[in-house]
This record gives sequence, structure tokens and C-alpha cells, in this order.
Amino acid sequence: MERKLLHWWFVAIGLLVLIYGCQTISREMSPGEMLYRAKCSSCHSVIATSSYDRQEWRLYIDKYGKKMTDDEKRIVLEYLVKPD
Amino acid sequence: MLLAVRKGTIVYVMLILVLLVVNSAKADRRGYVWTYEYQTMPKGESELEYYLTHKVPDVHKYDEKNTWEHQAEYEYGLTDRWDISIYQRWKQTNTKTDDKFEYTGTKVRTRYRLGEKDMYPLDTLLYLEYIKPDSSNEAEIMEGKLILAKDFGKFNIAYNQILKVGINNKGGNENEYAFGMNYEFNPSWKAGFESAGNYTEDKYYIGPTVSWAGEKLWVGIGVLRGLNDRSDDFRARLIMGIPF
Repeated sequence: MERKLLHWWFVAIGLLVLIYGCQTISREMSPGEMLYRAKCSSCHSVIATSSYDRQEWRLYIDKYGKKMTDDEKRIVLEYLVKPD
Repeated sequence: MLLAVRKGTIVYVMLILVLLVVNSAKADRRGYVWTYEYQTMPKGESELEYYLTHKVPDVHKYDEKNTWEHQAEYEYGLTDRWDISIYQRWKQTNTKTDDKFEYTGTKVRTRYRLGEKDMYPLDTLLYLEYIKPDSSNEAEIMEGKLILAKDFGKFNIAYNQILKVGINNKGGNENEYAFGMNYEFNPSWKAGFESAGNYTEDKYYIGPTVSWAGEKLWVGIGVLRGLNDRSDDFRARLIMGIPF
């Protein structure tokens, strides 16, 4: 059992090395995109910014972003209608 | 067995009634019931979750041995990437020789996301949990999980590498895993399959999972079938979350 455990520790360390390597090729994100992904993608997949127009995004943010502050809503809306 | 089935039926009927009452909503939901995915509670938000897990070691001896485990969890987002939670746990048995409902202990947990979705080639979440049993004869456990996940459009894949370490000389170390793949049909509905297992004890399971989410409630239901003689024949889990 101990040998098996040691084996999985090596796997875990390998994965951590892989993750560290991946972080060196991270993608830059605007504050609006980060906020959008943090607040919205915990409920559903990341919806492409081109899926809706300004009015539709505003409606969805008002409907589903009830716990977001007005500032957060504004930053997210700016990102969604003007993607980087 | 009839008593167990009746209690289970009551839970499911209540759930259906709640689904009918709370309609068309969204929440901080889980797409899996055995596998953790890449998400934490957003900053300042909290949620109550209820877990019901049914374990059947041998379906042919259902009357002799089966358990219903209940967990209540309170979850709170410290930041958009870091959350904490506390659980209370109970265990219920409804067999010919044993019919009881007992408190089994508490758990505290924290999760941290290393970035936002798609920031890195692999979305990585670190998970740490302390399990304190009610009985002093059982092991206190530290549980660490490395959660790796990736979205491919509406498809999601998640893998959990789990290490459990007994910290009061009453339990050994165990290596476990959970793996899930699902598809988001629309923002309310996700369906897929999960596999879970224990590498140390050579127990493996696979089965389907469905998840529904609304504004005021989300629900996930999954069943697993044992893949070898060491595994339980059947396991089922329901998780319900109410954000507030």
C-alpha cells in the first residue's frame, strides 16, 4: 500500500510541475473579462461575447447579476460589448 | 426495505414539489455530484447545500445492509477565488437489524482557484478539508484534492486527485479519484457521466449525473454502479444548493 501511495505522490508532484509550466503561458485578461468569468461562469459555461447585443447583455446582467454591485455590472457590460 | 424506500420516496417527492414551485432560476451550482469542478463561491456570497448519499454494498442483501448519509453545508466566498465551508453529517440505516439515525461529525473545507477559467491551459483548484468524526474511535482525516478541469465550449471535463491522511494514528492513507464529463444543454440543464474510485482499496464506480439550476435553487442527481467485487453494488447521491 505504501508503494502505491508513493507512486501517486509522484503523480501529484508531476501534475503540479505541469501546472506550474502551464502558468508560464497564461493568457492576459482584462479586468472586465476576469470579473465576467469569476461571477458568471460558476453558474454556466462562458458564453461568447458575440452571442448577444448590448441591450440583451444588459437585460441578462440585471436579471442574473443581482448580487453584483453597479460598478461590477458596468465593468462586465463594457467587456461584453467591447471584447478585447 | 419498505421503510427505506418510503423515506427515500418522500425526499424525492419533496424535491419535485420544490422544483415545481421554484421555477426558472440560476445559482452557483455544481454540474457533478461526485466530482468537484473549477468553481468557488463568488466574494461575499453564501449558500446552503444538502447532500443525500445512498450506499448499497449488495443489492441482493438490501434489507440487511444499506446506508443513507446526510450532509448539510454552509459555504461562503472570501474572495472571488477563495471560499470556506463547514459541514454537519448524519448517517441513517434502515435494515432489518439496524434502524437508526446518528450524528457522525463535522468537516471544514477551503478551496482556492489559481486563476479565472481559460487563463491557463488547465484550470486548477486546490482543496483542503479537515474531517472530525463524532466518535473518538474513528480517524480524524485531512483530505487534499487537486482539481483539474477544462471547458471545451459547452463540454466540461474535470479530474480530482484525492489524498486522505489519518492524522490521529487511527487511519491510514488513501488515494482516491473522481472524474466527470458533462454537456451543458442550456444554462439550466447539464448531463454527463462520472467515475469515482479508491486506488488504495481497489474500488471503482461509473454512472450518469444530471444537474438542474435555477436562481434560488440547484439540484444534482447521480448514480454509480460498482465495477468490481470490492466496490459497493450501487451508490446514488442528490445534492441541493440554495444560495442567499
